[in-house]
Amino acid sequence: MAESGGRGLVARGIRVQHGRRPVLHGVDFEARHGEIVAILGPNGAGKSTLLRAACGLLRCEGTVQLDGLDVASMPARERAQRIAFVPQQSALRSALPVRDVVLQGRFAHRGPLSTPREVDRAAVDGALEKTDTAQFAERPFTQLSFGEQRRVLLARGLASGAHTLCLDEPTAALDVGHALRLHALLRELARGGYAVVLVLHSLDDALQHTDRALLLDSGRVVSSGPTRHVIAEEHVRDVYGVHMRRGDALGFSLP
Amino acid sequence: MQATEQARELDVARVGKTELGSRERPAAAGRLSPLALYAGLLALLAVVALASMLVGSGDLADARLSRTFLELRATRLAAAFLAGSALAAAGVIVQGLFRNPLAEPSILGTTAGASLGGKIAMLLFQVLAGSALASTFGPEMMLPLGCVVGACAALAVLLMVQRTGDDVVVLLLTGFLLSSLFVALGGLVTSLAMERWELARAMLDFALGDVSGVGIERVVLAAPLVVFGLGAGYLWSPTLDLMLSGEEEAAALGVEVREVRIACVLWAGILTAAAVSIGGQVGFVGLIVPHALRPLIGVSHRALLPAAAVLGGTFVAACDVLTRTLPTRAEMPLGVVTGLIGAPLFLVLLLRSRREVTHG
Repeated sequence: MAESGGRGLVARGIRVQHGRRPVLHGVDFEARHGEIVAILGPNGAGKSTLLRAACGLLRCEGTVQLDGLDVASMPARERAQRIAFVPQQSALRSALPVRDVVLQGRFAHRGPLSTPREVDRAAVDGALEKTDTAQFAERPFTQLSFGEQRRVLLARGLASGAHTLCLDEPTAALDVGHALRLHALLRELARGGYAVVLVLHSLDDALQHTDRALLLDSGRVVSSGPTRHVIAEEHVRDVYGVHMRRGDALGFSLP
Repeated sequence: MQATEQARELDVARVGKTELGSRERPAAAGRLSPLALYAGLLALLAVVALASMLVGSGDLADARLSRTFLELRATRLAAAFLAGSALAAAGVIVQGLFRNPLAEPSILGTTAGASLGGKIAMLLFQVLAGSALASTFGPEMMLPLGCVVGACAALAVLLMVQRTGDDVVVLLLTGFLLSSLFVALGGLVTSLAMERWELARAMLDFALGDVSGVGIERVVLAAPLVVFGLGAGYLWSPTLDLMLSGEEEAAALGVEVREVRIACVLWAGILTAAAVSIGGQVGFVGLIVPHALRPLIGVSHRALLPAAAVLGGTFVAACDVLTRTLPTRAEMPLGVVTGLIGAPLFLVLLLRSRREVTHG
């Protein structure tokens, strides 16, 4: 069990350049264990870049610490045991069966030649079940729809056993039922002590399902804090150039 | 929004078909069991080995010469098998490393690099003749060493180019360019060697590449390299499976990507170099063999690598039997036979992948 209320993932002064183009200009960011944090912003704001930098997958200026440990100097295996990064779309184009894809999440726990142990199989089965992907565990990953692939990638992240989950637009391409179930699952994990970071486009989802938010625009933090404060009329107008109305969207909930 | 999602789904489905093993049957459904697979592969090897011992211009009925003939053929069989195993395994490794089913040592210029390295080593040995270095390593040792350096250097250049983008065409064109460059440089080295007739002769023999005249010394020297390369490749197989998801995902899953890249270049380089030091430049084996196997056993490198080693060895040994049986005036070089099979296959695969990218 992860330490609940611990420090979690803390990033300070994150600067990233793509070539000569600065993408993030000294961003501070924090996700404590037990909470769900949204990274928000318009297209090109630097949301996914920040997520990658926070996971230690991108060279950046500044510091990223997980529970007080420097992420940049962590060996890849140790980092993978602590932080699960779930991309928006996998670059995997091979006909690996879904079960093998989810088993990849256990790589950091196994030796190079060891066969999956009972604990690995249990983690995989649990992750398949939680993400409602067990029914196509034997099918090739490449034959799944985009939404199904997203759930498999989440299962791979869950199977890793990492207590910090970083997900890039996890509900894009999910139907309303699976999207709600995913948010419910993330809430359950957060209650169990996980730190969950989500890059989200839907402000509505952020309002309903996250505790705190960080609003980015052109690589700078516009606002951060409790989500309902961040998604305020003036921020939305300044960043997205739209007026925010409340109360005219459809609402859905799990039975 | 819905249209964007549909476009995304289409895009995923389309691009997926151009990559490793996407056309192959699902790994779980209809896969051969390892037992059935290896029984089949070993039976095939036994048939080819028998043919290799029995077929040839020498008459085995002649009691005085039959022993010599059999020894020569056994050496030749071992040489062909080792070269084929090494090339097929190197093919599996580079295809995983570059995430590209069209990657292959001869297409990427790795065999040409190994060949150039071998020639430079031979030249160096002559220059250094009499020195301490030359007496420590002997000519036989210098050749595989030069091949390893050449092959690894060629792969390292390719990796640097590939890091700037993931384009198949750029990768293949760079491989072609490197091949041409290494062949040209090889010509230069050969011409430099012309001053010493014996050296030039040895270099030409090496450049033409064939297992027909290979001595047992070369086989014995290359065998440990092949065994080492296969063992190391097998150890790295689970990591290569993760590399199929791209470097970023692999790193997120716990792979030290830089380390793996260097290691795989080294293993593929050693395997290619071993093959080149035995049989010269035998093309397309690393392309044909993994492609034949993936539909049967799936894309997992741990299953693919050993099977490719057995089938690769068998395939090249069979091609070698073919060179002896085809009705030509002189024996056909081995590379000609593998090229005649491999080049059309490469073209079909390339056209198929381009068509799928263009038309979906």
